[in-house]
Amino acid sequence: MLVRWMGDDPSMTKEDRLGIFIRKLLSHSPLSADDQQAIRDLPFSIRRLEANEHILREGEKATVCPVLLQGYAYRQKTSADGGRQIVALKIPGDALDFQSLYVETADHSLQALTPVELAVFSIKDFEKLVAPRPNLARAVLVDILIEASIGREWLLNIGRRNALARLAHLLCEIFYRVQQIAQEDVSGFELPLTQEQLADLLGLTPVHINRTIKLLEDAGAVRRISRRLTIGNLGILRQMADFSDLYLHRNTVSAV
Amino acid sequence: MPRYFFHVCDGAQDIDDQGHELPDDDAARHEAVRYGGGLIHDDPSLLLKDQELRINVTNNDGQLRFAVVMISVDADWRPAGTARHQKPASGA
Repeated sequence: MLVRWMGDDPSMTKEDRLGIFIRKLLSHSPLSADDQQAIRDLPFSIRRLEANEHILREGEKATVCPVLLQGYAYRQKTSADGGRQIVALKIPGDALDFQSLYVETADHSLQALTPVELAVFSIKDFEKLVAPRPNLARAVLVDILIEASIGREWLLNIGRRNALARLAHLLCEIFYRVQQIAQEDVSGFELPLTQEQLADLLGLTPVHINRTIKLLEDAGAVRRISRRLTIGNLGILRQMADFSDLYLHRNTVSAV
Repeated sequence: MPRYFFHVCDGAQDIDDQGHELPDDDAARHEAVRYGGGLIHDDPSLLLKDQELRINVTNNDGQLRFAVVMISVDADWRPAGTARHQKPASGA
């Protein structure tokens, strides 16, 4: 049986639901109790979207600062001939648009990968929150830097790794990121991407993705149940991908 | 949409039992060429080792619609205008 991890238990109180966001920031940046409380005190609304709905469109000016509480989202860009490239994957707890705190116009589209629930802050409120709080401002910066680091790794992945290592590397990354933020055992969790989405993310054709999954399956690295995918053996995957989690900067927290 | 199956023959036979839905033969042909390109890009020795990589594309009835064949050929090629006994201009 596959586990579909979509975030923390959604039945908790609205204020407690920000816990996953604060946990995410704390995973890379120290924040005082006061800074954490200031985030909790900020007004926000909960917004639900279906899979594939737009959160932000290329060319728009953002007025809100959304944080992913439940579900998965992605950034995408398209070429003139309609080719789509998924350029970032966001998981529960991730802030979706810290960039718009600093640059005005969205340079890509942001869409829900699965049904999602967002905590939506006003961008003005968030700016006012961060301005007098250097540790919070630093946490926002580090969050942006880590996404840039992941982007560099993806560039290497798509530009230089073969299909097997490329897919194995992505699966390792998703597992490490989800495992870090989830407060439960996520072994056997179902990967949220379809073969078509994997193709658009990894720059391969869907047919090639299918063959590559088969090779990973034969090696025992992944398991496929109907068309859904889970990790079978992380050790084998890591080896195939030559995976190091250095670029995820998971252990950068020093004392407050 | 019709379903197409992309079988890879590179010495061994890799049978596609899942298939992919594509609008028509043209789209499937396009996909097959890109797929072959991806395989060669990943592992150029596919052509060096077995001389040939073939992708057989069948439809739902198991009928072969077309094949994409990639082949490397060793031949005594020379730039135009050089006689058989001449070395190419750029040659040492």
